[in-house]
Amino acid sequence: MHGLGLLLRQGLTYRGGLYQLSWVAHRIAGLGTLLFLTIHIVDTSLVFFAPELYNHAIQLYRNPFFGIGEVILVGCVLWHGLNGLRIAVSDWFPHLWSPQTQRPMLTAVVVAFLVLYIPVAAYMLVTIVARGFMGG
Amino acid sequence: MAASPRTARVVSPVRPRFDVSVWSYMRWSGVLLIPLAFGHLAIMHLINNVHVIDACFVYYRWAMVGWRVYDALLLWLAYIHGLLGLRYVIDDYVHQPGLRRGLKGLAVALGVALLTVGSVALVGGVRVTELPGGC
Repeated sequence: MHGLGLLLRQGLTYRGGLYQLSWVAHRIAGLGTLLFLTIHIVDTSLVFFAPELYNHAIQLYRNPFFGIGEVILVGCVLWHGLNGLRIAVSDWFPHLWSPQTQRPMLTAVVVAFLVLYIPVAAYMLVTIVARGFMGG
Repeated sequence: MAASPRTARVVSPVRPRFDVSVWSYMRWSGVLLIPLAFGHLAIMHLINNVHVIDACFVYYRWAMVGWRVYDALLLWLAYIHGLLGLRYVIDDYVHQPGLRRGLKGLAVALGVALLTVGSVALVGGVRVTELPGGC
């Protein structure tokens, strides 16, 4: 998978600035969410196929290791959604694809992401610590 | 001898109509997924969380048909959105036609399998009789 390594290297060296980084983050967040979704559909389906096994799977998710993964997942979905909204709206109204409009739009996405994610991540981390490292 | 005229060579079959549909689907499903996915995360990962959720929680939640419809929308919109996103990634980084076709085939198989499994569970619901303690 030299492709992903190339993507990461380009993301850090290509002088596209915040626009390039937003694109790299969008892609990585999307792939991360897809990976989680694949696992999540299987585990939730256990409520029908093997309900006892579902309870066992949830027990595993109570481990702080998965808790950290969950915090990352929320960040991925939040960034992908907010940045994706900017892309969709700009594509529907293409006059928005001008540097003068994109700069404030991207700033708004970054600000909205930080305003939502910082308290949410903090709350989730507090829950992880409060539940203890044995997963409550 | 005159140089032969340069002509553009079609490297791979182009499917503009399909690509436009995908382009459009990614935007519409994406915008719909913002309230659906953000709402799901808020309810199932913040207000409730893995320390509260178990099979009985899902049983009572799915007793309301509205939540099953919500989850079905989320399942289909999100997973197809994700796999079509994966298609973009495959097109960008895999240049061997055989490998590219293979990976896309795998993605389609994964989509069919997981959407089937997920839908069966949504319709079938929680099989409480399989739980020793019931709900």
